[in-house]
Amino acid sequence: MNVRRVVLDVDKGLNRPTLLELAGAIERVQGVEAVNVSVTEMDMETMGTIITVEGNGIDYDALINSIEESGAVIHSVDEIVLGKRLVESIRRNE
Amino acid sequence: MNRPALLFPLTLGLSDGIITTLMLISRTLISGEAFDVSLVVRVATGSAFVGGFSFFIAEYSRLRAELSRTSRQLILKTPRYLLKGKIGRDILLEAGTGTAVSTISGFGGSLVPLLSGMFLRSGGPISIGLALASLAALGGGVGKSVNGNVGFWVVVLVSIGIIVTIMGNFLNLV
Repeated sequence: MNVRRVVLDVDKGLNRPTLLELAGAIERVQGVEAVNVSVTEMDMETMGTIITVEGNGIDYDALINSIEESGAVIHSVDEIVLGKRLVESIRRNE
Repeated sequence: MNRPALLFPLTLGLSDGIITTLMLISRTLISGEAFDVSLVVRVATGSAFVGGFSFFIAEYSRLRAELSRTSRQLILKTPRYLLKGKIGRDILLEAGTGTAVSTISGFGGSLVPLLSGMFLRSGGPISIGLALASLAALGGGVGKSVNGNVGFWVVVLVSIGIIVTIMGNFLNLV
C-alpha cells in the first residue's frame, strides 16, 4: 500500500511536546515528505491540532508510533489517501 | 534545558548555598574563630547535597504533577501513557539537569562565606559582608533577568541574609 496522505486529529499538552518537536518527530518517519500541524483549539493545559502528512509510501504504523511516542494523543484519523496519485474528497451536494 | 529554565536551579542553588552556610557558621565568623579547609569542604558539600536532593524531589514531583494534570485533560486513563514516552524521559532529564546545576551552584554559594572566613582571619564581619554582597549581587541579577524591581530584590535577599546571620548566631550551630 502506498500511503500518500494522512489527516489526523491530535491533542497534546500545552507545553509538551512543543509543536516543533511534534512536527520534527513526524518528519523523521519514512516516506514523509511534508507535514502541516495546525492548532485548532487551546485550553488551559492542552492544545488541539489537525496534522496533515503527505509523502510517498508513508510508513503508517511508524507515523502513529512517532506521534504517540512524542507524547501526543490521536483522537481520530480523518482522512487517508493511498495509490499512485492524490485523490481529493468529493462531497455530494445535498 | 534552555537558559531561562536554568535560572531557577541556578538562583535556588546559589541563594540556598549562601544562606544555609551563613546560618551554620555565622557564630564562628562573628566570634573570629579560625577554621580549616576540611570544615569548608564538609559544610559546602553537605549544604550543596541537601539542597540538590531537595531540588530533585520538588522539581520531579512538580513535573510529574504537571504530566498527571495534562493526562487528565487529554482524557487518558493513566499518566503512564505520557510517562513511558519521550515526555517521561524529558522530565527526568530536566529534573536531573536542574539538580546538577542546583548542587554545583549551591557548592559555589557556600564557598563565598567559608573561603572568605578562612582567608580573612578575624575578619568575620568582612566575610559576612561579602556573603551579603553576594546575595545583593544575586538579587540584582534575578531582578534584572525577570524584569523586576532590582532594588526590591536586592533589599529582600540582603534582609534574608541578615535574618539568617542573626538566627545562626543565636542558634550557635558550628
